[in-house]
Amino acid sequence: MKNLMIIALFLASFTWSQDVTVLVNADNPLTEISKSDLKKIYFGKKSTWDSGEKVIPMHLKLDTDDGIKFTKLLKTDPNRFKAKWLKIVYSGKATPPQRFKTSLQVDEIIKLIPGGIGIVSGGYTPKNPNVKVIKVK
Amino acid sequence: MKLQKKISLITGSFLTLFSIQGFAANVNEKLFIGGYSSFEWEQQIEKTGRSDRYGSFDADLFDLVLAYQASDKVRMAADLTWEHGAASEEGLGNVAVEYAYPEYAVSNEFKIRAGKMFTHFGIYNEIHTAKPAFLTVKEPLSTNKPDKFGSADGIPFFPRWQSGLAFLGDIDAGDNTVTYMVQVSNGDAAVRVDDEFELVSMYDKDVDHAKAINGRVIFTTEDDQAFALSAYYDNMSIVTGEDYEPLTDVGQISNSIDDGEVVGNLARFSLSFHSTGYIGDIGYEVEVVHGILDGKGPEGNPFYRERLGTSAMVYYPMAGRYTPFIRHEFLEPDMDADDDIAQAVSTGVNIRLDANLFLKTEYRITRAGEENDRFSKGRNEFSELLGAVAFGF
Repeated sequence: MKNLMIIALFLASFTWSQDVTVLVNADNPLTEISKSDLKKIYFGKKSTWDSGEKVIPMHLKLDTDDGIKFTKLLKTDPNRFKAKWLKIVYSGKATPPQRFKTSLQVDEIIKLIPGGIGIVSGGYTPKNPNVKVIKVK
Repeated sequence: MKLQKKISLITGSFLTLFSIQGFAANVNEKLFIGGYSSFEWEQQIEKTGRSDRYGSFDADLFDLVLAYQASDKVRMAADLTWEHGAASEEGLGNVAVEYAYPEYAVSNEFKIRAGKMFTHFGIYNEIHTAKPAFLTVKEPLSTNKPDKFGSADGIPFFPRWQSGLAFLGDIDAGDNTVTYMVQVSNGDAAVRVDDEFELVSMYDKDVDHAKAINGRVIFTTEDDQAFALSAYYDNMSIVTGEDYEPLTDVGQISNSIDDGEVVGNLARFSLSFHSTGYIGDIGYEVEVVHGILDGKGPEGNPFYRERLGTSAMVYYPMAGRYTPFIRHEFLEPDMDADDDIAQAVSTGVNIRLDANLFLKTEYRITRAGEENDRFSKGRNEFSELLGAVAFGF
């Protein structure tokens, strides 16, 4: 029974890790990032990395399965995410993350931006050597 | 790293080519242009009341929101507004800078702003013109415009805008966040004309050494529930202005105050608690504001008044498009006076038609005591229909 539970937990975590992939520029020293830090970044509450570099967040279109998985990771949904950003943008606090159609487009941008971070499709493998995947803890 | 930074500047064009914007345009990674518009209509149902008997349309506003990220640490933000179909030739409407400030980010935890800003107080003030950002047609009057809800002194709990410095940041508290903001500004002055006085916001000068100070602390949980305290304090000078004509000539206001004489003072202290978030699928907003006015008038007469305003709203988003809501507002304009309480209930639906185009429909009932300053004399019980089309980009 105990073994079965361990296998179930393993499968659950494997399934979850396949939901999204987090990409950063290869120069970024991070190897993993917490869900709460991701949430702070994608809601404009963490705008610089520890190095002082500006964080430039990106994600996929919200009205897709990937968009729904992305907002689920942030413990919200696409409509609440949009509503929250309307308040943030218009109050002058921060500018919204960039949205892209495909994971490859995010990959292509992050390779050029040291402070870039992108949440893309689960299981995506970067096509550029200047881009790496980091773990979500 | 420097080479990479140069390369990153070039990527602006890539961002323009590839990125898809939900409601705004990043011209490149440095320049952001967004904005919003709002068109409103309101119709009072009964013959008497204090709403619009004629069912007027209002070309409420068009705003441009700009941000420029000059470097990793320096950012400029601005919001420019054209209100009520502004037409300078006809002297109609209003053109204004809602905010314009550079921000220097020492770190996530400490940033500095200098310029004209919204007063950071409560839930609504920083978005009170941004109609796509909230569900109802208008913000709660009880907490944001008590002067329009029966506060006899005509003095809101806090000024809409301030000119000064702000210190702010986001501090990690485990999985939660503490967001703070401290603002120091000129505050307001009270200009006395005959027996009346009017508040003048001091964006370009001050008439005394006392600065207004306010602060807000928001504790936000990982589940996006927010609990906040806001406070505002200003010791306003009361100034006589012989040539002062209210709201007719901006230059004249300044000149009048320059030539005026300080004849009294009025301290304004306001404290607010608010909370926003979701309980399951039901969203809520609650705010309580307590305000004190304390001072001495031109003849040395003491003046003291306590006020209390509350608002509470629940809403239920459905199918990603329809959000019905109900809101209650309460204002006790003078806690020592009887029969002056004003209350309102608003209920309606906010419909997201497409992208960030919203249709708002609302039914609102207002009831006030006979001694309420705004709604007295048989105009204290009425209802109205309100509608709005708001668009954000």
